[in-house]
Amino acid sequence: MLKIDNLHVSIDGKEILTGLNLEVGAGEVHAIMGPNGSGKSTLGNVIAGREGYVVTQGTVSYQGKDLLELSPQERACEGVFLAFQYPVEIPGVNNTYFLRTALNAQRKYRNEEELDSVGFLRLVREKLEVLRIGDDLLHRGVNEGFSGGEKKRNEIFQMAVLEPKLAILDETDSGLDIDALKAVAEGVNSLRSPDRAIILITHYQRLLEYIQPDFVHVLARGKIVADGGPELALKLEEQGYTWLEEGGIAQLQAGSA
Amino acid sequence: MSELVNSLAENLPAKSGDSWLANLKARGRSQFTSVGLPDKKVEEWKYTSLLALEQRKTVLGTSSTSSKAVYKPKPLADITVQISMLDGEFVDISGKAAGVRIQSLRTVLQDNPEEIKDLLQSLEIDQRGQGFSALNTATLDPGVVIHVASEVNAGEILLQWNSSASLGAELFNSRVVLVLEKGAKLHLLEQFENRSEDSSVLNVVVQCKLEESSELTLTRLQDQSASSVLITRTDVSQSNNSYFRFTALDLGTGLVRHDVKADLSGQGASCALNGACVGSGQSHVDHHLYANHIAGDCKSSQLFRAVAKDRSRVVFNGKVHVFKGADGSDAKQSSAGLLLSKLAEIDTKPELEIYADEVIASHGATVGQLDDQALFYMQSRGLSEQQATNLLTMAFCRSVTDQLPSDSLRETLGERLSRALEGAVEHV
Repeated sequence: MLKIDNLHVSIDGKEILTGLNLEVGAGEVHAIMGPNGSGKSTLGNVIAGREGYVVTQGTVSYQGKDLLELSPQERACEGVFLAFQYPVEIPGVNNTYFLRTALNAQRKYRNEEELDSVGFLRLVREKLEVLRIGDDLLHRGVNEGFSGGEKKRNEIFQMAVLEPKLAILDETDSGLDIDALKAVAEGVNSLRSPDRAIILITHYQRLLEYIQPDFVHVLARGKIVADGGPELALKLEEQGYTWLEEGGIAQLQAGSA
Repeated sequence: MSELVNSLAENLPAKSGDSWLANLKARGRSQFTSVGLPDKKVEEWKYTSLLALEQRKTVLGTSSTSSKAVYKPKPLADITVQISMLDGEFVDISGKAAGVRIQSLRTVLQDNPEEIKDLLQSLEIDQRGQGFSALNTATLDPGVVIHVASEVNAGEILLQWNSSASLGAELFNSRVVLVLEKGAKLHLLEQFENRSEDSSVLNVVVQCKLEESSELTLTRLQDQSASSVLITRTDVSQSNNSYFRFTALDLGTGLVRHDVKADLSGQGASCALNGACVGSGQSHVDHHLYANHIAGDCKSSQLFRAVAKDRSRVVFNGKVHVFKGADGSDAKQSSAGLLLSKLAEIDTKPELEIYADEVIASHGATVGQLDDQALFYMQSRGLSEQQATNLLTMAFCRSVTDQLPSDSLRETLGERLSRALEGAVEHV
């Protein structure tokens, strides 16, 4: 579904991703772990198409298409979803209305019939029930005055409604208390399906106790330095990222080789 | 500008008789000749040029309702009582409301001029570029008088300012007199819409007298064509505990100047002066709002939102004046502007003049651009840049539209606003 090959990305002339390779297939859940500043969020933003990230080398192909050629809107309509690390507050734009506009924009792109407000509300109720989210978030402005946990849940809710093919969760677990973390994890788990791929970008192993990944990748200094299964996450948790910097990378690479 | 003033003044009607009205009009004429039309040297007009009027050799319009075709837009709202004006002249009324008297100004001046004598005479004309008001007084005759009797709730009345379908560079004057007796209520909707390609000027002076505990809501939609000019002045004199709520929605592409002044002369009076403006094309909209706290314990708020696209220019000048002794005044002001194009301009100037001690006053003014983070967030969910921009700009204006007095109006005007916001946006 997603194939990233030798990706180099710079921000303001500074190279952040330095030759990243990653392949993600449908139905798979991948976790990308790494220390602060290793380029985790950059990866998410580049895939979603945020401005200011300059791809200097490499390719990203998504369902056979050159993803980097598409606008952020087209990527979304093609099924790419980024759950933001810091969801943006948009005061005055109703959350439900926004989501309906987004869904209908995507449906229109795919030549599907747009949903009227009744049809949309039915869909929303369904999703809320599955995610066990209250409907109080619906009537407010997009993320307006939401707590950290509410913002993250709102991202998961949007994801559930938009039903992307490729979802990237950028540190969705950061800043969450244990209850919110469980709720988010349940939301993600309920969306796991054979035709959907999920990339979890995270700093901690904690989230992976609730969402079992198929693959774990370690990102350091702008590239994937090690791949493995869930055991790799445990190893990292045990050793810490300092270890990674102080020779751990070589150890991991030796181990996985 | 003096050439234009001279040519306009020459065609003003000669003084007839020695009545107070004849004297008032003669005074208007001499004031107009001496004050002239404002140029950019006048502080209140420094952002707004009237050169176009001069270049077009604008003349005084002769209001003949004869065979001319009329552009009559769809009424803004489904309202029983509708007043139609044409080129500033009163044409007709449809519908009736108990306790409400609506007459042409001409009729009142003929039959019972004393009734509005004090109000007409009270219109101040000073050196601050009020030549338009002087000109308006010099031609006193066209216009309408609305009188709401004590304790009557008049409901909604629509005042449609229509224009002939083809006009030259003609200037039309009109005067609106609104009197709300004690405890009376009225919601007047003004609709300024034309589609003509002509370059006419409409110069309207609205004088409102709000007696004790009366409530006037004035909602003004302006959606005029690119070549037309609209000049309005709205003076409201407020007695004890009266309430005035003003909302202007400027969506047109022409040259517009609004002066709105609320004199809070009676204790406990309050006013809300709000406006939302979408500048597009080469439109020029200039809002001057004045809240004068003359008596104590009065409240005023000013809320203004401007969105400027293309090569448009929006001016907001909000002034709060708290007079000596007006203790307990509460004055708020907030203006914000959103620039959607490199070539657009927003000039905002808050002014506070406070001469009393016990006063709460606040103001805030910002001009900025759309939030890139929010734009990207919305696009990353599938919205086009245009859709995202529209949602953000609508949200930006929402604090004004939310204060409109009814759901149906919020919806109708919200749609109009949304339509005005659509169209190509050039990014900064």
